[in-house]
Amino acid sequence: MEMIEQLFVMLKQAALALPQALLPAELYARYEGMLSLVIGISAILVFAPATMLFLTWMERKVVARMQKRYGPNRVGKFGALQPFADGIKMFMKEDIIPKAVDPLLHSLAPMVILIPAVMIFAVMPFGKDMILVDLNIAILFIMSISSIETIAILMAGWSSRNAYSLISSLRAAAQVISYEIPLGFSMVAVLMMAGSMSTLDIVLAQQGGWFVLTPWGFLGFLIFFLSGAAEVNRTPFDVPEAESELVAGFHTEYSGMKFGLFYMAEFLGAFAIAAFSITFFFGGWLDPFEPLLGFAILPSWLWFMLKTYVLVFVFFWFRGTLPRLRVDLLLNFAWKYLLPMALLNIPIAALWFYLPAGPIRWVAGWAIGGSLIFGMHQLLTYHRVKKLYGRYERPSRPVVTESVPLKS
Amino acid sequence: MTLRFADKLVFGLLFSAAFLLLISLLLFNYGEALAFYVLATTMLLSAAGMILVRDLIRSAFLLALCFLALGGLYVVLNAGFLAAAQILIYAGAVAILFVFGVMLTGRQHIPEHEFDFKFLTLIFVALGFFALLARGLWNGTWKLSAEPAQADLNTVAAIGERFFSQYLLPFEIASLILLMALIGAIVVARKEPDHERTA
Amino acid sequence: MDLLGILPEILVCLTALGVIVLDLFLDPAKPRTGKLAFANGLGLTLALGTLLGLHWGGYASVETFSGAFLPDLTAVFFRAVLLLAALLTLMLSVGYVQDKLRHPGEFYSLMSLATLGALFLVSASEMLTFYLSLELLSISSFVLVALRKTQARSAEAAIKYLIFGSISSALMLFGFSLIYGLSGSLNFAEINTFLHQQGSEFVYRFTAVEGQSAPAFQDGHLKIELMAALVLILGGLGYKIAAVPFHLWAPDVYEGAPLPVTAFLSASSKVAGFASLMRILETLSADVTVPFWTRMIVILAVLSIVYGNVVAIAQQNIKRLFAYSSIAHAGYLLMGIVALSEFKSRDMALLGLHYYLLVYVLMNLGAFAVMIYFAAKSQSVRLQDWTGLGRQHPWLGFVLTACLLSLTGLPPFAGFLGKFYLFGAVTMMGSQYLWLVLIGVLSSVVSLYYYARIIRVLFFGQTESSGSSPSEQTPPVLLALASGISLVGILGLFVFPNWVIDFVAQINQLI
Repeated sequence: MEMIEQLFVMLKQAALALPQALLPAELYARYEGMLSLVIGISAILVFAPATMLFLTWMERKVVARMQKRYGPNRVGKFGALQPFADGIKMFMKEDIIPKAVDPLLHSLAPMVILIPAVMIFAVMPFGKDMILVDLNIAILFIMSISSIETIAILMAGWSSRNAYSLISSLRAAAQVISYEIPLGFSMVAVLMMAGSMSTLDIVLAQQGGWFVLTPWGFLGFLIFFLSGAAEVNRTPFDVPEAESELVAGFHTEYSGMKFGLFYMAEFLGAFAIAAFSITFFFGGWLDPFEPLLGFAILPSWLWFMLKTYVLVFVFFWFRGTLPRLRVDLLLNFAWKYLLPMALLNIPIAALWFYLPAGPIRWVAGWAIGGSLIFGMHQLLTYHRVKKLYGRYERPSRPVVTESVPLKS
Repeated sequence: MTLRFADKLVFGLLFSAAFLLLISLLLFNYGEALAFYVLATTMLLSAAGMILVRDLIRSAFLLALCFLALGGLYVVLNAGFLAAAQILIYAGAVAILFVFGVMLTGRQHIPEHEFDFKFLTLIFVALGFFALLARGLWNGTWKLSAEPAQADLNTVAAIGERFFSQYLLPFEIASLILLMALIGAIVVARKEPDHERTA
Repeated sequence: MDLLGILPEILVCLTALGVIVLDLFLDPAKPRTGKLAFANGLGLTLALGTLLGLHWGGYASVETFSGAFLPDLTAVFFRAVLLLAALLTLMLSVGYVQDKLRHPGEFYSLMSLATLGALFLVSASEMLTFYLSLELLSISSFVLVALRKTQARSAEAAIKYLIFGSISSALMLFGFSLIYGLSGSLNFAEINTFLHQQGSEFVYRFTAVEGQSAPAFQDGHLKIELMAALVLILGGLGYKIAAVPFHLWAPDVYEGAPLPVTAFLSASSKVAGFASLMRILETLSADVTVPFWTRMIVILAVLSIVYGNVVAIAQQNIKRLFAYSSIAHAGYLLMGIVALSEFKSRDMALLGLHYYLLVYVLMNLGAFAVMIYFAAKSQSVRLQDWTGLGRQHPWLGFVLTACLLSLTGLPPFAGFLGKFYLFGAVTMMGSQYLWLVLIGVLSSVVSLYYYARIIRVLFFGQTESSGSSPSEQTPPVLLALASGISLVGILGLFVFPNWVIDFVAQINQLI
């Protein structure tokens, strides 16, 4: 068990053995940290495209099943080789740069979007002892790095000289900037309870119980997950790439591997959001049964992957079932629903913090926090519904996804 | 359409900068110094480019690059919190608002400026001012901290503590400024319904 | 942390927030400015009452908020003046806001926030607080100027104000950063100590020739870094008080802004600017720096007085005329700042500055109260359209005349005493600055010409219509009250200047 648990750590040690044997001891000592970083970076650079390949296949399969189709099933067993075929196709395709585009920005955009998408993996705790750098500002790092993606989207949209691309990129920028705020606020509660911004400390702080089980953690997770989905333009928040309105959005004019890079950034973003949801609210790589049984059932990295893929599956589930939001409702949802809820979450977390630990905290915290959350939800949705229909009636589906007749 | 020479040059510079950064990190003990110079050069060049480039959008993106490089400089100086805040606020929000502004106003090119006497005078004044300041900065006796900043210091906690003790009043005033700016921006930018508009 | 010390500020802040919230709950269909103005006035009055009550109740606070806030006697005086100015501005703006502005709640709230910035500015004793409160004041002024959105002039003025303002504040911030780099401290007191102790390091000294004594500090040149810092900071504040090389925004902004906002800019903004200038110069005063900034201020003062008065002659637009008049008055006040630099004239200069700023607020706002009414009557701010208005409204015409004569500096109005103190302070510095006094006096004579021209138009102008008989209409109560307060103020302070004299004497004793 210990062997499997430490598999990747040992692999790294093995990789370090070669330079250790070759270099003089003094020189090796000086460069050891640097070399282990390089090995970690290389591992992530291998892991990221592999994840993307797997996710494309998984998405096609899952969505197909939901639509009573088979999905890819020709290339390899269960179509498992399909992503490789697609990859080869993309590399082989002609890289078309339309005549009207701004060539510099057009070519830079796909690179600029991929860099932050991969950089985020630097602070992801994949398992015990498996984190590239344990930054003490990891939460801020995640926020700031993910905000760079907007620049790339605007670059792509503008340089394409295409109305669809431009509209899409403006939508994307407005959306990302709006959803960044609830996203950031939802992490504040986690930061307060863990007392640290480091992802590692946050995972370790959940040894006594996952954060999602607490009222603020539950609400925070929902806000984080939904805003995260909007940040990476997943359905039902994918208005920037709404194919029925905007062809393919900001990457309409891209072909070949440049398109592939956008695709990759999108999937990596979805994976990262799922992974960080796990890290912040579902105990990261912690084994939920270990405190009960006294021994680990599965290695930590496997737990992390399992939990993450459950959330990734939820993303695909959304895609298969939910309709897309209208742009104004999308922004309203961020500013008029998620933001007040995220703000409410902070006092609830403070209340939890000051309640004495033990059963009383769980009962009182859930009672007060839950009723506050419910009351706020009623308050926020009541006004909206009243405004839309003129009278209050309970909507049969969540309000935000209700399709509403356009006002003249 | 192939890339123009200038575009190729920019690509080349960017790649070589990134490459140099990596190599310096790997091979040299003074990688930090080299990182500093690469980032500082990037920052200065992009700042200069922002002013000189005629295409407003490119200019705005160069501004974003400048902000990013500045964030990198903060990292070199072990000011992680500042770096993250810099990138989040300036590169992630301010620069993007600039791009938005340029896209929405629709004017993409600045008209060529006539190179006349006035322009020349302005250049001389600016250069003279710069020379004076540069001399002052170069020769000045500055109060410098004797010890370098520590990398593993928990700056976030320290900054938070300062905000709520030593710098409480400025912190609160800053929040008032933000509130006021919010109110002001809404009042100024709000589109009035036609029938309510007064002559 | 001394919350009692900033209680007036807390009240103003609550007022600003309260007005915004109240605006939300009022029915937009009904006229609502009454309630909002009442709430705002109540808050400001409470703040003023608290401030004076604390002061008279013997409450004296020392530096608080870790050295960020210093409510000393000077600060108490200027905070009272600022709150008074805000109250007067509120009174004279009610009618205008009701008629012309779409967003009364935002107007009142922004004005309270700007006042709040000014309040913090005059009592800030640390550079961060100083800069941030200056920004609070400036940015809310930008928005206030832009409030008449339907008018292109208003937008143009706001843009000009914004661009000038942000550049000057950036330069000032750079100056602050240089000072911080040199002294390693943000606190005013510590910076002052630093300059006193190590100031001599910042002078290029020539090696003494044998047989001659070594040159004194005054003979050496300041090193560039300190000189640049001084120039940049003075430039930034010079913009705030509209002194001459930094005055370019003033005429256009005064003209484009809504009238109450112009009144606010000419009163509160100027008082805050001068109070903070006094603070900053007190901080930066050391043997090495005083000669330098004195020379700079002298230049600013002369330019402002001459330029303001001469250009004002040609103005036909009342708002522009008052812009140039305010530039000229900045010049007079800068003369008082010059006199601060020497010990022998310091007491007199402090008295002059305190007294004149208080009087300036009263006479300027009194004039604006009448002007707002006249502008509404004649639908114009051009001088020739105001012909005969004084005869129709004898009372208001009288108040305006009194204020204008006081601005000129004629007895029996307080403006005379104010100028007397200021010029007297400069005279006390010795013969080297007598020419400055001469310029001041001569320019005052020039200013009589354009102020008297307004009076002539109001009372003696030829009108074709039958507008010469006194009008039946009475001006709104609040407006009349504001003008009455101003008149009583400028007359009362002329007769009983002792109150201010005693107060300033108290300040001087503490120094």
